[in-house]
Amino acid sequence: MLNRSVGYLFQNPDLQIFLPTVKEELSYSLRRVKGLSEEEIAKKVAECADLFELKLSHTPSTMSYPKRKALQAAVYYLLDRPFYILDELDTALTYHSALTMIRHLQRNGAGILIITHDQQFITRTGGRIYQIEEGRVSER
Amino acid sequence: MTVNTYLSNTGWLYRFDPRAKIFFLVLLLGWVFLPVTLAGLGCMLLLILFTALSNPGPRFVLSTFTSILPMIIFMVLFAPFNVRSGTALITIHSFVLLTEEGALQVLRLAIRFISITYLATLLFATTPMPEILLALQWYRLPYKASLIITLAFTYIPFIADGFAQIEESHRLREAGAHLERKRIGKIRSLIPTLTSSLVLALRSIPTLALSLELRGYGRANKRTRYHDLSSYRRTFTDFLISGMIPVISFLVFKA
Repeated sequence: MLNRSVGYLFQNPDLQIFLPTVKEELSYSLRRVKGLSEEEIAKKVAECADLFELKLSHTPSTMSYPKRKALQAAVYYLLDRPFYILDELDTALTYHSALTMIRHLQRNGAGILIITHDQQFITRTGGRIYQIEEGRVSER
Repeated sequence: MTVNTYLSNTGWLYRFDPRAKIFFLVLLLGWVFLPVTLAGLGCMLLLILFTALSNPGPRFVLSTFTSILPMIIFMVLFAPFNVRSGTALITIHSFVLLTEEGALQVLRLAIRFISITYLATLLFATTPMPEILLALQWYRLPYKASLIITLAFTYIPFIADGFAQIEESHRLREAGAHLERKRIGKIRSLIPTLTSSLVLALRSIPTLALSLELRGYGRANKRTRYHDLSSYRRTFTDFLISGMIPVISFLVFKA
């Protein structure tokens, strides 16, 4: 049940990428949803690609790391989960890119849990901050 | 990324010379196939399990056992059917389901299989990869061959680990009550996992090539090395123990 309501962005985006174009990658999950017409899928995919600044004709496996990461986030954005866990999203991304992705995922009111080692980054995201120090969890 | 199969700890097996450890491993792997009594095989398995518990620890024992459990179950379920003759233990009407000889053979096979698995995994869990490489070279195994062996044992767990993560990530991506469920869905869902695994494997080629290059593969001039096995001071004693245990236990338990 948990995996139906939680989207987990793995550290490595390549774990989820397997189709030849961004368009196919984004529409893959939508095609398996009952009651969605081709037009609706195309509209959702195009909007999502615009939002995450992705080109539909690009080949995911040859895109840069930040773009692959954006594609991974876009896939989850389309799945419209109520809660997301972002595992070290800021790795190899600029603060701006990472924060933009978080804002996009929050657009539909989803809760976000961010796991990071970067204390500066986490202070910029807002919300509650918990830290693990010497095996103990405390609120900052 | 899984970089090796070594599990850091401080047991006696960690202080055992890697060269003697390989010698010990080869002898014990041969020992389990010698004509010894079932009780002897059982004792050897207990000794191996005790060594595993007191060195890498209970978690290692449990995880190794869990990984081979499906094969053991398969073996236990089907192997008794190979032995049809002997004293019947379980019969259904006139059909003999299990014979005493069949049960004993399964037990012997299972003990051998578990012993071999623990012996091999113990070597890699208690010895760092560079030391296995040095020990293999000490046995005059060419550098390239030793390197391929150590890389294979590094790379296989990495791929296995990657495959499990990919499976999980695709399950997360597709899960949902609203999604279409078909009978062939399970088979079809393997395609994304296999494709991503292939992408991951292909992406790791440059890293693997770099790793080989850094270790001197393909260079005409031999690379120098800082690390050696001179820190192991009881090489002779370790070899003696490695030889004595299999020989004495064979004399005690021979059938």
